[in-house]
Amino acid sequence: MNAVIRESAADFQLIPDDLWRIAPEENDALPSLPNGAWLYPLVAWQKEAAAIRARGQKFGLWLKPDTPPIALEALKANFVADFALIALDFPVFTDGRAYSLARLLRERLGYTGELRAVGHVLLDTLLFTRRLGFDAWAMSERQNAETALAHLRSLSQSHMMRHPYQ
Amino acid sequence: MYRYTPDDLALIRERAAQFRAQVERWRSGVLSDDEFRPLRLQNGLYVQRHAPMLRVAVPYGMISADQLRKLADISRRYDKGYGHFTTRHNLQLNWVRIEDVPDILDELAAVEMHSIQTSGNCIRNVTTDPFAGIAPDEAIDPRPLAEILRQWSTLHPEFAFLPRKFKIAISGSTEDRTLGWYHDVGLRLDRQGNGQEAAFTVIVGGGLGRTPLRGQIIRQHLPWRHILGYLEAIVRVFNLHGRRDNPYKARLKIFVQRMGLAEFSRQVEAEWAHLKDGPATLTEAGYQRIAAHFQPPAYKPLTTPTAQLAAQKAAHPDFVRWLARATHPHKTPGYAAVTLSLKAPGQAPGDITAEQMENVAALADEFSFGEARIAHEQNLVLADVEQGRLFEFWRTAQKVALATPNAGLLTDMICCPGGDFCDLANAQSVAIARDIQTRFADLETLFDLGEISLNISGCINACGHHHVGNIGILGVDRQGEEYYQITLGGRQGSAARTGKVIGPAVPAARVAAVVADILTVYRRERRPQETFLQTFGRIGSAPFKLCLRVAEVAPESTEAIA
Repeated sequence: MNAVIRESAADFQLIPDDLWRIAPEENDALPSLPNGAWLYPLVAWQKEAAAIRARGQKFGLWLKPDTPPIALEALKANFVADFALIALDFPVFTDGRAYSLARLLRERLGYTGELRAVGHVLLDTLLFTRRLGFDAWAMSERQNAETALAHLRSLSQSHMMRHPYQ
Repeated sequence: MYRYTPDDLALIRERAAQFRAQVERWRSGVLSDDEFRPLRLQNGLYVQRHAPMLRVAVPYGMISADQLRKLADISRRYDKGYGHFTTRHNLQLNWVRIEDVPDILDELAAVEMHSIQTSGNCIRNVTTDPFAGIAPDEAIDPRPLAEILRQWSTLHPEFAFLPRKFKIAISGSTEDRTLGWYHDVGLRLDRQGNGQEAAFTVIVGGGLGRTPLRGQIIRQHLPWRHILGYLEAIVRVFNLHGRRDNPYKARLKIFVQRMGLAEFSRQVEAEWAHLKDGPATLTEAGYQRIAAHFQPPAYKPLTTPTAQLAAQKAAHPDFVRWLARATHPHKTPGYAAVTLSLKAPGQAPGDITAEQMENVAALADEFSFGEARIAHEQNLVLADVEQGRLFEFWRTAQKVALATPNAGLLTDMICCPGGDFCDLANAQSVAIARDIQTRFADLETLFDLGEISLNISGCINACGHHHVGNIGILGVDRQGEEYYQITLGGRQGSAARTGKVIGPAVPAARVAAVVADILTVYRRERRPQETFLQTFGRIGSAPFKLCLRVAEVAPESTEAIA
């Protein structure tokens, strides 16, 4: 992944050696995946949840913006807390669907693990995603990670972070 | 009106600083044009035909005299000394430089103004009734809830990137003056039920634009404290499932139309079941904190000075005309609301010079507690003028060319800026407006024609609301030639509906003549006291179609509006 920033203990850190990778969607690829931290696309998880658990390694979920909310509801029964990470993908930063998905994950499913924005993640969307409960960001290629880190730290002082009626 | 808390002020200052940084990153190439475009649009900055255009928000149309003076100052120093009021209560500055915009935003922030969400695919400036708080037919002043909606929608993180723009209007009166049927969401506030608690009727899926659709009632009797949660349910369903592949089919109205109201309602209710009574629920204390900003001003105990007005009217026939068109009833005895028309002969509808802004500010300070409102018909309203001072007001307004007595008459046109400014427009809508103004400059004629609305849009995006004009004029492109399609029978208000195209489009040079012919038919056919709309309703469009016949070159049949 590109430069990853993670929130922890009320601060933000650049993660220099983030090892998460996105697994292929095809089920038959699963047995041949090398050991490591994999983010499974929803279809792979839906079909192979048992096999993924049986690998005995930490696993995460990779969600596309067109993920139906009803599919998230189904995860509820499937121990959403077991995911070490849920990544929401932004194919383009103006696709706001993952914003609603994030709220559903946090508020309705009670997911408290790492929620990471991946894809077209800009400095300009850190404010919104942070407010929605994201706590990790894989910055888009041309974004300066140090600038993003400084920006995230400054947000805690920002009035744009907290406004009534939201 | 609402005054900012220190937190509100800090927020818009930060937003301005954020935009300054975005401009710098764009200029240095860190942000691509494609990345910068949605970001600048969320701050009301367009790049138009001749220059960038900055759209400044006037939330629910309330503006103070000091804010007007600042806008005048900004328009002089950063623009060409004028601005243009839109149908969403906003002020457009047509000639700004992108590099100046951060400074402009800083200056706006100093008077509690900004351009946040005046464009882009987000929740836009909420609009309301220009007579809010003073209209005799009002059940509940909608402004406190309009302000709550402003705070809720401003930088709402979940709804920053919707499939398409999202417009909300809110009204609290019997007669709708907000075009609520033609918004993504139209809200009507009323006292409902036995307990007489304030509650909303919620209309969804309306809109004009290229596919005009009247909204439908999705919910009645929604208790006021639930409005934000219910709106979150609506906008969330739209955000998650609305089309993102085709901007022309992405508005909520098309989503609701395709799905049907019943299914949309089912999805909203399913979402609402989770959100109901959640953190978005309003409290009485929270409401009162905002409502305190909208307490009535210090009205004097007055009655209508009948004898004084009668004497003034007897001596000044022009004053009689102005009273008839420019003043409106007020719920407080002895007061009136006054429309300041921005439709004087030769004035592009909605345009206002810096000097006029200052003159309006002075009038507001002198006569109306230092506040003004923007009406969606692109006029200004001073809401709290003593009836005993109307004559003095009229004299003063006359001196500064703000006393044109044409509100509600033919030349009180709604008109978009058109092809002179806008990249989208096919047509010079303002030139058509000018032709009509010139032809109908005579007040006798205008008063004889009576109540009538004429709306002009330069293209099918319908910024000039042509669909709901009694006479609607739409600019269309015919192989590079400007033609205009005429619709009749549209109307705003509680019985709002769109007009129907009466026949083939006519070339630009003939539009004013066709309008004149249509009005000749009306005058010939009307019964005593009948308005244009009533006559049209009685005789139908057939007699009016003949007015199109003499077109030199008959173009192909009417273009379907996609």
